[in-house]
Amino acid sequence: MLPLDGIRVLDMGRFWAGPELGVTLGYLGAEVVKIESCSNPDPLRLFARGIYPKGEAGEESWNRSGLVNERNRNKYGIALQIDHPRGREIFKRLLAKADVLCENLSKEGARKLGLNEAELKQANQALLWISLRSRGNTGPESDRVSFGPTLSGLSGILSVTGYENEMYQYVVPGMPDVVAATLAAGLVIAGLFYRKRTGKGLHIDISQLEAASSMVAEAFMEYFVTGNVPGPKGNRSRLAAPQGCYRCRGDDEWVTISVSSDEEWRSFCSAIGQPELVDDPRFADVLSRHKNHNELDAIIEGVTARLSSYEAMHKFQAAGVVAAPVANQAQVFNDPHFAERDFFHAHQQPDVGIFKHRRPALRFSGFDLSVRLPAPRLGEHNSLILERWLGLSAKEIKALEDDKVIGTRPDV
Amino acid sequence: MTFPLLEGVKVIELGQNISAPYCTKLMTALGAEVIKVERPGEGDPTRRLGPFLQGRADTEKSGLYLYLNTGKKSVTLDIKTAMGQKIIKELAASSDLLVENLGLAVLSETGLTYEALSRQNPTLVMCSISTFGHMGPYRNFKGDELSAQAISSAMYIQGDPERSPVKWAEYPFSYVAGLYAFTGSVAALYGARIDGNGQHVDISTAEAGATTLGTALVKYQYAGILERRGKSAMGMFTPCSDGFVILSLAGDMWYRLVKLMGDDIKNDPRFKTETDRLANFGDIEALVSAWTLQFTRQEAVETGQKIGLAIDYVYDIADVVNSPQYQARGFFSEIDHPCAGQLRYPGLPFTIEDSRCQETRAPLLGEHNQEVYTERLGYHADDLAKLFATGII
Repeated sequence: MLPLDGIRVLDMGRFWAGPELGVTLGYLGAEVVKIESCSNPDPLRLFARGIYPKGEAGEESWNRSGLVNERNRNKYGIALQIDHPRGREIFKRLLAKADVLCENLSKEGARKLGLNEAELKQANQALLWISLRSRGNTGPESDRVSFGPTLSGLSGILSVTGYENEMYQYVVPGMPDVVAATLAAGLVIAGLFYRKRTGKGLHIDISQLEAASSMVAEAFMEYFVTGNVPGPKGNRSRLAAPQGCYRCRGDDEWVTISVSSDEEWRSFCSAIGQPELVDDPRFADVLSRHKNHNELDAIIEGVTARLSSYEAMHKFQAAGVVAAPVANQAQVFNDPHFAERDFFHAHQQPDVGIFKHRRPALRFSGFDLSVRLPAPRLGEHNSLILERWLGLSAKEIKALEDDKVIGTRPDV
Repeated sequence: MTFPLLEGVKVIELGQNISAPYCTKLMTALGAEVIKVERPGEGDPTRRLGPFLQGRADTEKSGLYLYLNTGKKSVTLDIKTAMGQKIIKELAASSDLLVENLGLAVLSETGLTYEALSRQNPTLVMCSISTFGHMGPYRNFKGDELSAQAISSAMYIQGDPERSPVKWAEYPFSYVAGLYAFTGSVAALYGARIDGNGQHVDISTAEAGATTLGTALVKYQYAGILERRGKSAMGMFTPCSDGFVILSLAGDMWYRLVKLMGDDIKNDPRFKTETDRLANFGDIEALVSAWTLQFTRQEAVETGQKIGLAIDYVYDIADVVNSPQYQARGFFSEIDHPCAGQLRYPGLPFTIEDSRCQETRAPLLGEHNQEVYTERLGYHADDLAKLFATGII
């Protein structure tokens, strides 16, 4: 059993945030239909950043995009021209049958497709409409264009990232899309609770920018409480010393270590074979270890330089000290821990092959999360969904194909 | 208008620091009742972390605690005692959800496992958050934000290529783990409403963080390329005459950039296809930098945004607070508190029917002992007095 069995979701998401919400709902059992159009498919089908199987775009490149595959598993896919009068009519009928509509269109994009309160309520009183606008549905900048990297600058995240007291001039690796999408999935389910009680639908709008700022809430509290504008703190910590990222034996191999208490410090000294450091006044307590952090770092790197990053993790963890290797992508895929936790799901796609994609970061004792459907090809389930949801006949569907209201090839 | 989506849901939080408290904070805003169980005398460690009003440590004036624990009830309880464990079991018996991030070792030590807690309440959902998760070869490892960022491969793509990898902000993965805990918990609660079965939800901070990493894992999986820290083809940091802006070249942004920068760059064979542009990213960066240097940040951003180019400012925290978008949307709200007084807080990052959830203040340490222990659990005043005297409460 999955909690969202029987829940029907229309997913008009593009790029990442919207589609990721659809993936999460699909994994939780919902019947998710990704709606694209031939004139305007998901941009990641056309701008795949070179992420194709073995780097080869191939024949139908729009169906071979790795990013599309990752962000659209557990969904059906239709390609419907909503800007065509018959497409619009079909869209309204699909809305009437849906429980949830999710999208991360721009305000302009949503407007063009007629996604507004009045129209949606008319189509379906009980619809849960979830929008993930990059800056939210309202406000003077709600029409502006943003992607993850620009949101990291606007949200304040970049200003508190990087080496201590230095301006960070790279893009942060983590994007707010998944943050917003994960929150959105929870809000959809909370909305379903509400709908069960009241029979009413809701419009919930998540601002990706605000979700991003929420990931550095402590920086805002520092500003509100002290008036200081916080900056980046590097790898060290106020509370733990030593804490840092230390070079290991291999090429560009590092291990992170945090020692949070005097007890852990004693264990650590034994683990690195230098128990006499416990009595060294330079490192007697957290304050002194902070004061003499540079010297301590040099001592530690003398030890870690002889170990691989994973050896270092095991060695220090065995002594009850927090340590973890700075894994590269290959190491994450090969890590026995992630493997045993079934973090990566392999799924087969026609013309693409078998690739592993990470599941949402959810594990349940009572729900079995799996890939029931590979990411859909463009318009792959036009017939199936129009027949299943709306009872359209083969003849009606063929007419729609002939009139290019539905299709399977990009027409850009 | 408020929309108490989770009205009637009863939650117990055995939480500390960021992830579990953030999860249940979201729930209080949606109308759930959250009872936060804290250590007698000290409370949640964030009460001692600060930042503090007037720079002085005070259990009731820690900015981070005040933010993370809006809307909750606080009880004190020593869960290392047999009586404390008994009380937790009583609370769990009459609750829908228990969220914790105390770690496997503490749960084993105290006997507060899912098996024990659900015995009297088979519909109970328990949600555990930990760095490595509660199963797998690393399940007994200790973890923190830094180790989550390391093992997830986030740090491998973070920092200067000539220097050590560097951590991303302070606790982003911990917040993300809290979000997954929120979603996992409501999913399990929804399921429990359908078939009466509770369950254990296992959230790993390392996994949570790994899911936020844009393209690196997919790129490795499909093309075998290891992505290392350094300049990124997807997001450019570029200088203007008065500071820096960021530019994103995702999707069809290139075509908009070209409109602004002129025909030379449009017809340059180095930049014809997306693949070419990724390969010659360094050259693009050099040209864009030379171009943006002619403008102030405001000129560059306004001109770019006018044609739908994703170009924007790099804000510090004060800039963000004063930003027109956040001001207009009322993202920050003021909440009064008996000890901390009137303070501003970031609000929740969503609206329901265009209105924000109203949040209420964080509790004082043990503020709801009386209410919870006598009214809800039926203890008498003398029992309570004894529990106080023996330090259990």
